[in-house]
Amino acid sequence: MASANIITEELIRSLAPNAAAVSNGKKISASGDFRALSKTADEMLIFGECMGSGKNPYHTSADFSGDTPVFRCSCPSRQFPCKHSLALMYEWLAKKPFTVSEIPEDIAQKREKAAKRAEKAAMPADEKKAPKQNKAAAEKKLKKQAEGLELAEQFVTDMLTRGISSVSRASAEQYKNLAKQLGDYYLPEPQAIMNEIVSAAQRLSSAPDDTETNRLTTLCIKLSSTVKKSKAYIASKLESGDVLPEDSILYEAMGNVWKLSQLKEIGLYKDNAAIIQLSFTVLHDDMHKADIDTAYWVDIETGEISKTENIRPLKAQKYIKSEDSAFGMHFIKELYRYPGGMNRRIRWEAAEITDAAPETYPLLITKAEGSISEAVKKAKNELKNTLSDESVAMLLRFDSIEFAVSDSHPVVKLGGETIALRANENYPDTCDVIKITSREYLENGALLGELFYIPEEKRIYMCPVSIVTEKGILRLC
Amino acid sequence: MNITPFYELRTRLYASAASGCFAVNEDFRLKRAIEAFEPLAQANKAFMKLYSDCGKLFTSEKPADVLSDCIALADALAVTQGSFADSSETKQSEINTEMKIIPVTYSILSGLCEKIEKCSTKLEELTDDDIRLVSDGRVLSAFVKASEKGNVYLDSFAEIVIDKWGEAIVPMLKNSLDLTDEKASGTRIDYIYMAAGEKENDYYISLAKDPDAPQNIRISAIKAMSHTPTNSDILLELYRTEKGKIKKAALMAVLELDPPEAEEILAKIIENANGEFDKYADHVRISPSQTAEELVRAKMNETAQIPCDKDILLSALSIERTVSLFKNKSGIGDCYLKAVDIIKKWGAGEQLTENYYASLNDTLIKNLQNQDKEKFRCLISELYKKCPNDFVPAYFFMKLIDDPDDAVSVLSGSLEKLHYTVTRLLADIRYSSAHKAYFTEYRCGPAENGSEPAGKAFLFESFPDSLLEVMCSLSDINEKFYEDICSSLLEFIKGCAPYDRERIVSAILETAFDMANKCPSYYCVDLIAKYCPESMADRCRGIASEYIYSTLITKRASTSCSIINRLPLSCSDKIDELTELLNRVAAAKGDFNKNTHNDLMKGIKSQIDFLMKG
Repeated sequence: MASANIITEELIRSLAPNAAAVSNGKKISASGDFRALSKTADEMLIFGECMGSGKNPYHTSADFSGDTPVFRCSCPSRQFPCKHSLALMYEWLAKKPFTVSEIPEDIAQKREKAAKRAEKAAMPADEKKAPKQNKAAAEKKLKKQAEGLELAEQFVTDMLTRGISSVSRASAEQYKNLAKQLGDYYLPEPQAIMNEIVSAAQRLSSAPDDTETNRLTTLCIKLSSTVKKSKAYIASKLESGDVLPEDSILYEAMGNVWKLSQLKEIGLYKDNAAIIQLSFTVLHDDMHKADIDTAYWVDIETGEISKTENIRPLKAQKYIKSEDSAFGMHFIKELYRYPGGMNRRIRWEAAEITDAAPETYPLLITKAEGSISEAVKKAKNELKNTLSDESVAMLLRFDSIEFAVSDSHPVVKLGGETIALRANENYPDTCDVIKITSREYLENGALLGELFYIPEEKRIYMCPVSIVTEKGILRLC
Repeated sequence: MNITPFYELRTRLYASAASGCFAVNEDFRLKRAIEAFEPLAQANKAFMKLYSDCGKLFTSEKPADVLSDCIALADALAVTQGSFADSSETKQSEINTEMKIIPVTYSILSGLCEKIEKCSTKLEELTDDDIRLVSDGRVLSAFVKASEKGNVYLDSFAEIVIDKWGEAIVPMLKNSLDLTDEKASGTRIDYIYMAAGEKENDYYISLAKDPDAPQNIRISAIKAMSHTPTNSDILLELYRTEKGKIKKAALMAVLELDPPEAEEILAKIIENANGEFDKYADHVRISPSQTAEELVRAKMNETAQIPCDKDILLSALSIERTVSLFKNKSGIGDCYLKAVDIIKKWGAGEQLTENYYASLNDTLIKNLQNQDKEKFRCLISELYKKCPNDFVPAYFFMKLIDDPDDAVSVLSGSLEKLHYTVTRLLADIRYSSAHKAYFTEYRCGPAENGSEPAGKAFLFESFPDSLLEVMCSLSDINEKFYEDICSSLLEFIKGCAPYDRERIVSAILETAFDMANKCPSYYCVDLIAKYCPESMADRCRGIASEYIYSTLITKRASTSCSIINRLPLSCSDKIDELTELLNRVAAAKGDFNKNTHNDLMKGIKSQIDFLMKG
């Protein structure tokens, strides 16, 4: 059990949902809005009253008696911890006077309830009742989805028959209503694709653009493939009676969300994994109107590249904690793996983190792909699938990274093979960083990069993301 | 094998999707593309599948369905056909520096990169941790990218970057220059000059002479050339052969370097101006030549003739214009003295004369950055010898950059005027965590909007007690300057080194208390509120109420009473003080405007209520 004395600036920042909350917390503390600052004798609980925009002050507390701090506040914010809780910690950090007091009654009761919950969670697995998967509900959902897919198919047929360039305002309204209906059929992903196609097609009618038209065509085709494959998938499941989720990318392609227990149920996990993060960035997803905290990880044992994604819809950004870069070796008892081909999404509940031993990095280099043509072959196998992502991340060894005399674009050299590096939408600046990277990092290492295809040039390029050297990982983003 | 027909077919399939497959039977281009694709299809199974699917487009009842299958297959085939080898001639990286792997989180790094990309004012408030990150390639890349825009804040950050990276940044800046962009700014050239100075002279020359290079880049290159006397001939040639802004930039550079030809050019410009000041002012200002000095002398004599006792504004305007020409001229000591005489004759308010003295001293200080600084140092010494009180800021500045302890001796004894200016000079000294030293800028008084950035002079690692004592002494300062002084002292505290802060805050607090007892002002109370520890709470009694009441008396205005909340007084002390104030204000009811009086009474009562509830 800790006390309020563990509060540091770093702790506050790590607990805050985002940087804006930290800034607001500091402002509240600086403005002197807190009154009746109190603490328990053991300093495990601090609390006070904070003047807000309302008539009555908010009652805010920070409880350090458990394994993790618990924050409570009577303000209406759904952000957690709220800015008042953060401000309370800043008050403590600023060494303002806190009067010793008894624990307020309501907090004492909440502590009791929390203790009971913790007791229950600590019970051995066999004593707990495992959640049952409801087959009847799953079947009902599949049937509903099948109905919705008919609507989506109708949309695609219509678009391709009339032409993507010919979406008028009237037809756009009809399509948007159609897309809205898909929400009733548990098909949020096809719905998002439809909305994107309709909005973009509408813009195109007033400002024609070939590249954008091609992009929408590709999206239409993707939607069409999703619909066809999903229909076949659902039909087969209903026919066989095996209606529960299985190892298939179509489950997410339709917009379903995996629970970790489901992944465990179908055996999509690895025991005792050791992974290390190679890169971290925040991508903005226009179509889903969300920011995605994206990290690539490498399995020390197998060299497999996986990714984590923390999806934060723009509307709910204040309430979902953003992730950040992670350093060191992560030892994970149960690493859950989502269905997919390369770069599968991974998740875990708890990890033990230690500093990476120096020999880790040379080891990682040996796990990297040793041939550019082999790497490209694997990437092509993945990229050619309509439902796959537009790029594939791989760790590729290199003898050197040099720069074209003509226009300074970077080129990876390995054995007698070469491949050009180029920025992509996800990592627009990493090629610029490589151009100013010291030569010592551009020899005899491994490059984590995203392989992607540019149709207009009929070529495969690699977008650099990180460089693994003998001494460590040089992040380029 | 030439697979162009495959790509052509793919293009036609996409076109069909765009225009709609309802008319696919009339799409002759698609049909031709399919026909042309047949030979390829015969040679390859995967292509044959595509060929046969495309055939169904014209016969199927669901052409949209077939079209989507064809496009999906064509896309997959296109990916498998994609090439990757790059046969470009390559060379190794030229960068061989101490770039480090810094384990910094994305959130911290992106916060700094955002400030850089926006050229934010916050670039002047970087922490030690931020500065450590300058060694990271990502931060450097963000800087190189932002260097196209540039502003004073990025300039300040550029100094830190150059401090860390030195000339290694030059190839990066050069590579980032886009010589095809007509609208390119010349800021990157400015930064190259900051990093490498005259070492890149050949590079500046090549850009300045390149007729295809963007205009602003050429102008910046010319500016960079203007620091090297051997460039005179090339600059003269550019002046004679170029047009427009390039010609003007070359002209200004020539005038600044002052080769023998410059005199004649300047004389011609003045002659052609027909007495119109604005047509030659910039040229004369930049030129250190004999002709320029003579013109300044003549202007000063003209100004001295104006009967300023009758027309002070005309005199003031004239002197302002003439003094603006003093830059770069070391032989016009007499003009400085004449300006002082004129100002003395005005007999006008102190503020007006204070400004003009500051302006004279400002020019002298800026000239200390000149290549011929010895001449300007002599000028300052001579002027100070003749008129110590009038040129104390410039002399003090010169001594400060030589030896701060020696500089203090300049200020000992009474100062009838300009002590305020000097105090401002001292308060402008700031600590640079990148250079681990205090610095000042070559100017007298705050920077004006749109003015060129002033160079930095680095002084000492720790702020000397002797200077702190001067800054905190009030005996010679007029009370009306208290507000400005406190505002300056607040900024000074923010800009001081962390290890000096306690000592500096302690000294300045004493000053603030003294001022509060004599004539409390907003910034005075603000300073006390920000820095007074609880142990000195007793000394805060009466300050807030005295400030509020004096505002009522002097400005006839009601001011907010909430400032008392920020003082480290107990709640009961605050209530007592405000109650006393309330009675005092109530007793003075008849002396003020009714609304003002009512507002203040209401404000005090409301504040008392708030405190009583707490």
